[in-house]
Amino acid sequence: MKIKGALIMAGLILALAFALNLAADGGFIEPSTTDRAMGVVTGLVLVVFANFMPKNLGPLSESRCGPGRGQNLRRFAGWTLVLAGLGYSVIWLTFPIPLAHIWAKVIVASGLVLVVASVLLAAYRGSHSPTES
Amino acid sequence: MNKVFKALSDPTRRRVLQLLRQRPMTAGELAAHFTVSKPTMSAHFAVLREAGLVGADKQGKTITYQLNMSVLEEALLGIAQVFGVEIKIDAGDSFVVTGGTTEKETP
Repeated sequence: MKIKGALIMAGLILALAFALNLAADGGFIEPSTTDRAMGVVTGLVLVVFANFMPKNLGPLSESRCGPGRGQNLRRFAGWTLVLAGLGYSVIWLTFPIPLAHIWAKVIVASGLVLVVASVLLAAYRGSHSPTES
Repeated sequence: MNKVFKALSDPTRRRVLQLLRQRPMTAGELAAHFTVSKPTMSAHFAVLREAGLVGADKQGKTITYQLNMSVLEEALLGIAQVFGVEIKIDAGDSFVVTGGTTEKETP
């Protein structure tokens, strides 16, 4: 069921990109509108997937640390990437296109760096402390 | 989603979720924070489990609960706590929100 939902979402995104490109080629919308719309949609897709991350990431995050740290890690990753996705969408919606290309990537990359750093930190602490505090 | 709203409508269940934010806890540890009877607490845990907001891990006689909330569900919990809303859901689709400024009832 999850795969079915993901495939439907992917199909919708591809259809939207195709429709926007057709509209831009036909002169109905500005080419920059296509970039903006796809940027906003990409950010929202990240929001949707990150929203469910705290529910779905359980066994992975708990493989190297205790359930308490694993839970905090899942929550942190979910919140960080949801905010990064929202930021990505807002930037594409409001910034000038050349700036949006840069800052949208910066904000998502920053979120990913924070999440990866927190995972590595949790793994390090997990392997260096016999009991969880 | 109705199950989530129902679970978040009760202050005791919201407090349970707040406690579980700190770390996973056993049913006994959680019950120690409340004055209500154990069967009542069990009923609250069942509602939270049914809504998928907590996960339960049973080892022997001990049940350990841990948070299992999406970001949106956590945000809803935060909003419910800030405004102190109490949502009563009838057997049908009717619901009443009290405690905040909104009050809606569908016949």
